[in-house]
Order: sequence, then C-alpha cells, then structure tokens
Amino acid sequence: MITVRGLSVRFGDREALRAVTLAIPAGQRVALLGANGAGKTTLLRALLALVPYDGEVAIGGHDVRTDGLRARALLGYVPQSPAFPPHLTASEVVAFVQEIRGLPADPLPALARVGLDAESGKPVGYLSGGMGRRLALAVAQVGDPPVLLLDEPASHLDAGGETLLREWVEEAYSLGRTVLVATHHLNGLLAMVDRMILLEAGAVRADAGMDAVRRARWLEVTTPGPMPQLPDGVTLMPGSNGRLRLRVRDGSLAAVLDALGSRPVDIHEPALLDVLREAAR
Amino acid sequence: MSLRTIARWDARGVLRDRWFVVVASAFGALVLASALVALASVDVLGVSAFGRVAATMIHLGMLFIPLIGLTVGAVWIAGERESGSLVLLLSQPVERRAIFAGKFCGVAWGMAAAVVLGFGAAGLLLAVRAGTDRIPAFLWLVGLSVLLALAMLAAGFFISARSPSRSRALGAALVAWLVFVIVSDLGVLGTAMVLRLPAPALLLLGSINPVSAYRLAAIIGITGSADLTGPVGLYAVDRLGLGGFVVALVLVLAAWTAAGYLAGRARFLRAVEG
Repeated sequence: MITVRGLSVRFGDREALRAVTLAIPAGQRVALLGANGAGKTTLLRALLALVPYDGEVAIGGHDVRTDGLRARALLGYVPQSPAFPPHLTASEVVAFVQEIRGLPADPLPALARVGLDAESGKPVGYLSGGMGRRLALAVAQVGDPPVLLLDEPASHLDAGGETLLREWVEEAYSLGRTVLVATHHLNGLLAMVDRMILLEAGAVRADAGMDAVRRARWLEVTTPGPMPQLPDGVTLMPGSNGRLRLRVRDGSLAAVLDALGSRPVDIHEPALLDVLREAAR
Repeated sequence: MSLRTIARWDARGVLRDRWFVVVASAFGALVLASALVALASVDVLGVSAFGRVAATMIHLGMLFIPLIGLTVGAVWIAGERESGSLVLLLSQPVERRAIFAGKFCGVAWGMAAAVVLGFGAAGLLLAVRAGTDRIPAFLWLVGLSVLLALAMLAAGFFISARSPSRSRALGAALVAWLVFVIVSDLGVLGTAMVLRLPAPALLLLGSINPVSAYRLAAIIGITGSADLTGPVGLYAVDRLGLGGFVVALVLVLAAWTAAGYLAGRARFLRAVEG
C-alpha cells in the first residue's frame, strides 16, 4: 500500500532523509520510531508530497508526485501539531474537508466519534491542544481513507484521549486500514502495531515485525560471580567489578533464578529500541 | 469543484478576519463621510458634489485599497503556512494550483465586496441627493477600484508565497505599500530630473505603477479628459489617444494582477511536490 524507494529529502545543507526504502502492505500497523530529528515527520510529509524529494513514493500504486490526487485520496493525516484555519469552528473544519473530498457536509457524526460533539460550534482557536488533536483525528477519518498517517498522535492527549486513540487505531485496523504511526513515545505502542521501523539520522536502521521483536526480547540479570552452570537460552555479557551479566531469553528466567540459588540479583528489561535492533539483525 | 469550495470558505474567512474588517470598515466610513461633507458643500456653495466626492474617493482608494490588498494578501498564505493550517489543505486530494487559485478567488471576492460596499453607500447617497446622471462615472471608479484591489491582492499573494512567516510577510507588504503609494511618484520625479529622461520613458515610469495607473484612469473616466492628469497623461493622450491611454492603464492593472498571481503561484508550487 505504501512504497518508498530511494527517498531522499534535503533542507539546505542538511539531509533529512537518506535513500530510505520501505514497503508497507495493506492492513499493516507500523510504528515509525526514532529520536527527535531522525526524519519521521519528514517521511510522513514526503508521503503527502508536502516537501520536495528525490526518489519514488507511491500510495496504493499511485505516485504521489505525478498522480498526487489519487494518492492523497487514499490518505488520512494527523500532523504533529494540528492547526486549522482560525476563522472556522470545529464543525466547519470537518464540513470543509468533507466538501473538499466531494462528500456531503455532515460534521456532527465525525465529531461525535472523537468526543467533540459538544465543542462543534467552538472556533478552533478556543480548542485545547488535546481537543485540537481529536479534531485532527476526525478530519483524518473523513472519507474513510484506507491509509492513516499519524504523527505523534498521543501528544497532548489526556488518559481519555489516549484510550480513544487506541480504540480509534484498533477500529481502523479492524476495518483493514493501513496505519503508519510516527512516534518517540513507546508507551502502549507494543500492543497497537504489527511492525516497527527505526529511523536514525534520516536512514532506516532497523525494521522488524512485532513477532520478531517479541522473540528477540530478553532480560538482563546481574549478579555477583562466580558463574554457575547455566541453562540454555542464557548468554554471558561483559560485566564489571566481578559481577556477572547474563542475557536471559523470555521463558528462561525461572531456570536461571533456580541456578543462581539464593544470590542477590538485579533484573532489568533492555530498551525497546535495542530489542528492535537485535530483532532486525 | 475544489477551487469553488476553497474560494467559498476563504471568502467566509476573509470576512471574519479582524484586520480586514477593521480596515475595510474604516475605508467605507471615510468614503461615506467624504460624500456627506461634499453634499453639504453643495447645499452651501452650489459646487459640483460628484467632482469633490470623486476626488476624495480616488485619494482614499489610492491609500486604502493597496493597504488592504497587500496586507491581507501577504498574510493569507504565509500565516497559514506558519501556523500549520495550510497542511490541512495540502494533504487533501486537491490540485495545488486549485488551492492557490481558490484562496486568491476567495479573498478577491471579499476585497471586491469591501470596495463595492465601501463605495456603494456613498454612491447611493449621491444618487439620492445629487441625481443619477453621474452614475456611469461612479461605476467606472468602482470598477477601477476593484481592478486595483485585485492587482494589490496579487502582489500580496506573491509576497505571501515567498515569506516564511506572517510577520515578515506583513513587513514586506508595508514596504511595498510605501513604494507603490508614496515613494514611487517621488522616485519617478527625481529620476526624471536627474537623468533628464525622454518623454516615452517618463510616460512608462509614470503609469507603470498600478496606483498611478488607477489614479490616471479614474481622473480621465470622471472628468472625460486628460487635462488634470499632468504632463504624463497629456503626452500619453497625444500618442495613444484618450481611449487608447485608458485601455493601456487598465491593461497595466490587469498585467499587475496576472504577474503577481502567476509569480506567487510559481513560488507556492515550488515549495511542494505533486
């Protein structure tokens, strides 16, 4: 559904994306991960042809540069900082986008889906950050596009908003939508996606399905030496100050703890991005 | 379809824009006040009300219409780009050209409405109090004012498409206003004196400014002659004839509109793909 080949984007001297190539099949939920400035937003903007780029980008087989109308008709977009024409009310924003997409203007059901029906008559300048993001979700759903691009969709959302977002993504998934979420907030993300792509300095550093990520997960167990007889699934890692560091695969922890007996142990989970790098290796 | 939709929503937007409403209201109020003063002087002195009102209207038009067109046009796209709201449109299945055209048409409709309403109240007053025989001349002035509004709006859109922020666009628009309305005529005078320009060059310089073209065309349309247009107008009428000169002046306004629009659109399209 989303095809990117050799995508490069430059802003002056800075190369924001460097020869990015990826393909996302229809119906997949993908998390685009990376630190600030890694190129996540730029990649989403390139999918919408919002920035000049080199390379090829296609949505549903339609090149976004030469067949942009058909490509963008397949996309719903929630930008990182949603903004709307200040002279419009929330319902007018949705009605405007409905008209632009050739649909009859009927904004209230769309606003009700994101819990904004009570705010429909409010000028958008009076909406809070979280409400603005909910409005962006309502706008992204107009026309039920098969591909949803979400840029940091959870920022500014309260607990209720995050629940709504999760339900929103789940509903999109159940309807077979393709979802690409750019984020650096990993909380709650694992349950929502099928695949993770890590961008670093504008290039894809890791790309793995969640099954592979789950299989690659491990725990780090640190304990004072010496090394006992260890069960399978345990790797010795470089330690310090005479302490043993063990990498323990999921499912082997109980056996390791048995082997260590009554020794004091520290157990911690490695960072998700390290697991992703390992899974993609 | 998309172009019309965008134009309709942007026309609604410009009529809700505070700066536009304030300046357009001030313009309308001043035009109406000038008409009232002129009509009062008719009663007292018996002088031509229309000539006085028209002269005031031309001056008000020369000051206010470029100010409204340049500033509103300049912030229209730059402001939306800076706030991020332009992305709402750019991410939709709409031709980029239709976005620019729709926005221009929407604001142009608002500008035209402001000019017609601003002059309309005064025109109605004149028609009731001073008779309807000068209505064609009055409509000519209104039509020219709409043309000037479009030319200035196009220049404003060009500034807007080039500007990275609302404040820089507004600054550039105010500089352009100074150049068009105040500096240009002084510059032409100074250049003509220093360089001892030949008459054709002076004619070109004196009428290529859209505000000057508006003034000259308005004076000719209202008085029916070029007698009050100064040496530039007299020379031009001598070379082109009265009708030819008026057509040339209208073409100057149309050319500014087309040039500003096309240059602005080219700059707007260069910033995106598709």
